[in-house]
Amino acid sequence: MFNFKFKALTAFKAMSAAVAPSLLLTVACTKQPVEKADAPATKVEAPAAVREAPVEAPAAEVDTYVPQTDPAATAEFNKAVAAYVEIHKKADGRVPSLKRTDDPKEISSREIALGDAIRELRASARPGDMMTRDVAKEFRRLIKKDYQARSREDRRIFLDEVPHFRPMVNQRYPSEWPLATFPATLLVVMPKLPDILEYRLLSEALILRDVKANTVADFILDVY
Amino acid sequence: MLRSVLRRVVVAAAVAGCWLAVSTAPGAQDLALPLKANSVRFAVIGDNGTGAKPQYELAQQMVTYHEKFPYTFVIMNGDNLYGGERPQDFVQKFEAPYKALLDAKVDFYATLGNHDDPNQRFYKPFNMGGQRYYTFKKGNARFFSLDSNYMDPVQLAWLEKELKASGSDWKIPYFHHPLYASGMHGSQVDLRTVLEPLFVKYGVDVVFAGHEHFYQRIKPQQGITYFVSGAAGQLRRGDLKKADFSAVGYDQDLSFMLIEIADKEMTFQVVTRTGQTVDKGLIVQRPGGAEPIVVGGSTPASPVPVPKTSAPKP
Repeated sequence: MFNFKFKALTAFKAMSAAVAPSLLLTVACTKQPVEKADAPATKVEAPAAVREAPVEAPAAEVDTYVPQTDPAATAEFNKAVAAYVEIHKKADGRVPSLKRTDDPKEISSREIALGDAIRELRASARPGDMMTRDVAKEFRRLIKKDYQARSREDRRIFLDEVPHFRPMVNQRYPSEWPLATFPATLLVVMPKLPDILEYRLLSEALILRDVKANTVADFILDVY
Repeated sequence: MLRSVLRRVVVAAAVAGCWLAVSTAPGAQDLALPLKANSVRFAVIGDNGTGAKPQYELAQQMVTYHEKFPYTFVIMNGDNLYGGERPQDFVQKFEAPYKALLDAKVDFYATLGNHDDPNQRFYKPFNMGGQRYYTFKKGNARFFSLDSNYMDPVQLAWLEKELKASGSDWKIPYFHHPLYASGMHGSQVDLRTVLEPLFVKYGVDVVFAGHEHFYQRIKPQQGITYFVSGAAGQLRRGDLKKADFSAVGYDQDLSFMLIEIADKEMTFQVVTRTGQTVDKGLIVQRPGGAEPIVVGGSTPASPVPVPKTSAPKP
């Protein structure tokens, strides 16, 4: 019997071995040789005085996803995602750019403006535009396998905080609901998303959420 | 070998004895931190952003302790703003309760909880540098603020690279969802599956998380001490359940942590809204990721008085 959780863990182990700095810039999706784990780093003396270092941004992305979706469906999904990214970029160009600010009003008003611009540009968007029938079938298969492999207690934790609202395309994600954690072991087998999009689970749905606009880009129901 | 073990037992017993003596001494608001020269001093809060009275009361206690223990920064374990994130929410749930600390130039370093809009990363006072996950260094300690809501392979690869490059400094990841906890939410096993191997491999010393609305110290797991500090605004009274991995827990009042790192020693103290200390101890960093010595107290035998103001519902 296909053991989904085992495969996900195996994928993570392979990924973990493949992210040594020497491999960081290698082309995505190629199989990486396994590097031996380095020993703990050498001793560094504590500084005489407390010094501060600036916050450091994440490094360049490494593609260590191992999608377990049907290749044709994955390609179809990637194409739809790319089209959405173009719309997002276009909308992004219509609103003031967002920089780090002391003024929370700038953050919230920009988020709302971006959501409005996207809504206008894809006013005719319907559920399933991005997660088409074939894509949805694959996603349901992965999520159900993950869910069914969990113990009762694990399922309770899994569903503990998933929001219970009925999603709509282009809607603003309701601020009164938390963002349920998306299982890490599931993320590795789903197709990779660009920075502006993320997968999120609701009580019965999988949504694609636009992170910057805080909107629902697409959703599918009956995923558990 | 036997002498070494005996020495460790004697040291632990002596420190524990000191702790008991201190803990039974009269008077609240005693400082249990050594205040060594050039030490790294910070506070830890989690699940704080309610904007309700209990959050303000605990924040006032943080101010009181700041006068005795001038910590320079605070790490936030997530759920920085519950509910709405309108401009006035940033004021009511963050800027106002911590005004005295912000005025004193105490920096706050936030991490994202499940109630936080990721766009909080653009809010300068949270010092996230516009990133969902980031790292920064203070003295000989390196901190890794992770986004446990969305632990994708890209973030894991970044974490591994940063841990590997961090030398033998104190390595301190903090994030919202605890890998070990015995409350309503429980341990986040999915997250543990992917994070713990990295923590062990690269010699992480201490981990802070929130999410559960209480305080809990976990027995060292593979040489790593885990803390849950998620009661700086929310409280889930009576939610702590027995667990083999639990060392100490406290779920009767809001709390925050004070930490001092001096060379290879980290001293910690956990303080409630009324200024009572409910846990304290010392973690000694050891080479090669060996199990740290944690000497600390246990939950006070007699209940600590709790203010009559009630915490908001989770």
